[in-house]
Amino acid sequence: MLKVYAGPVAVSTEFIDFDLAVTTDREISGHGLWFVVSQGGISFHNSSLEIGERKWRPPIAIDETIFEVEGLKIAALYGKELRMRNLLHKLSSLNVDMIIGYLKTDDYNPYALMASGWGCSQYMATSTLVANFTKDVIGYSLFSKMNDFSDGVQLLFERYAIMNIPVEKEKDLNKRVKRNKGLRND
Amino acid sequence: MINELKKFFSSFLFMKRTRFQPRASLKRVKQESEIFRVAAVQIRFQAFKKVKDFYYSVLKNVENAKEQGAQLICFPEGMNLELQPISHDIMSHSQCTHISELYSKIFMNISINEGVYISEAQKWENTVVRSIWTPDGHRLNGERVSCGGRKIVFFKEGYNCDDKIDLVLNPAMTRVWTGDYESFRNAWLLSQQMYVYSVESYMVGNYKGTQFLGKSGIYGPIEVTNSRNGILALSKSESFEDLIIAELNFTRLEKVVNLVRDKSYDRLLSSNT
Repeated sequence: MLKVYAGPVAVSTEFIDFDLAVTTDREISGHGLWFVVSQGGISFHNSSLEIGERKWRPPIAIDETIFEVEGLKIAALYGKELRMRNLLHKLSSLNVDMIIGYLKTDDYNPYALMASGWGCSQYMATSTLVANFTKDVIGYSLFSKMNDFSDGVQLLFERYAIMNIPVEKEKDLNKRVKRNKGLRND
Repeated sequence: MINELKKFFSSFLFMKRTRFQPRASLKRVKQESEIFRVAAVQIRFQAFKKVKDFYYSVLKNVENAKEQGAQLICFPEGMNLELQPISHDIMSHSQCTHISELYSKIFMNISINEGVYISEAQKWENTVVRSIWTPDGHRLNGERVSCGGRKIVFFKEGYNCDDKIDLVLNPAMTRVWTGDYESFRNAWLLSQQMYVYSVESYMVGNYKGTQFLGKSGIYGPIEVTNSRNGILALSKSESFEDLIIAELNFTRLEKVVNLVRDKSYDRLLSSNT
């Protein structure tokens, strides 16, 4: 399981031992692996050092959408890309482990989240974490492939949350847990 | 039983064909092709002992849908099972063929007399034969058909296509219904991802001890629905008969498609990298 925190940096101190964090704050913690999602793009930071970035524009190569995070392939998709069946088809052939999506809507609309995040998870059979920017608030959602025991909606719209995301590459994760202890251990 | 069926059909076809005016109905559909009214019929399984009872049951649904302005009426998968006196695994090949022909004649006849398009799907042991009957009595089948000036495909799991399509039909029959999210996983999701309208109709009820469930629906991308939920019409129950109708506005859909279409992605998605 990949333990992921999503929300403001300040609130992350409530949690310990997460492997990866996603935020929309500009100022991030000096420790750990952080994705920073903004209206202009997404960047990936390791111990506050930016080591990857994607601007929200059509990619020239599919690789531009993928961040390699210690053996895991995490694709970062912008709004309408979450619903592009052809793009998702291409990404699934590259064995992407997880999707982080950016979605901007006027208001909170669960159906828009379903169409983008939930739909992406059903088609790709991977977990999808969506940062939903509305006029008033930013919320995080987590979806997975539905099965007999789950409808695939793990988290519909929360301002912050800690979540467990199943990934297959357990070996790499064990290393990461040792390295990133969260902010409380700083 | 078979002689009775033959007699019924020969007399019925002779009697009804005089009412047939296909050209007028086709013209009407083409003129109004920007707005297309579709119906999804949710059928509760019942075994018919007489062909004419089955015929009148289909006709009643078609007439109800037509009264509400439907031009295309989508029936669920497996209605041919209602007509079979015995299970198809113990029927001979010729019996199966005969039932199939009778079943097809019923739909052909009704589509001609009522001047509407009808979609149906015959379920056989290992295959499902999905067809659209046109008001002039033609049977359209295959993966993609052109109907009333619109490109229509039948739903397929994992469907992926570059070409522009207007409408997806999913005549369905399912045993697994885990909850309301089942309503979203097939046609609704395809509408969101392919920016098309979709019609899904379910066979429900008990067939040979197995309970079939499903909520029929007519869907479009969330951007073309006033309630922003992608649902144009949804059946009220997952286990009872229902008839739902919705208007598909292709002009509105085209506007949305033009807004989201981005040719910058074409090269990326067509390349091998």
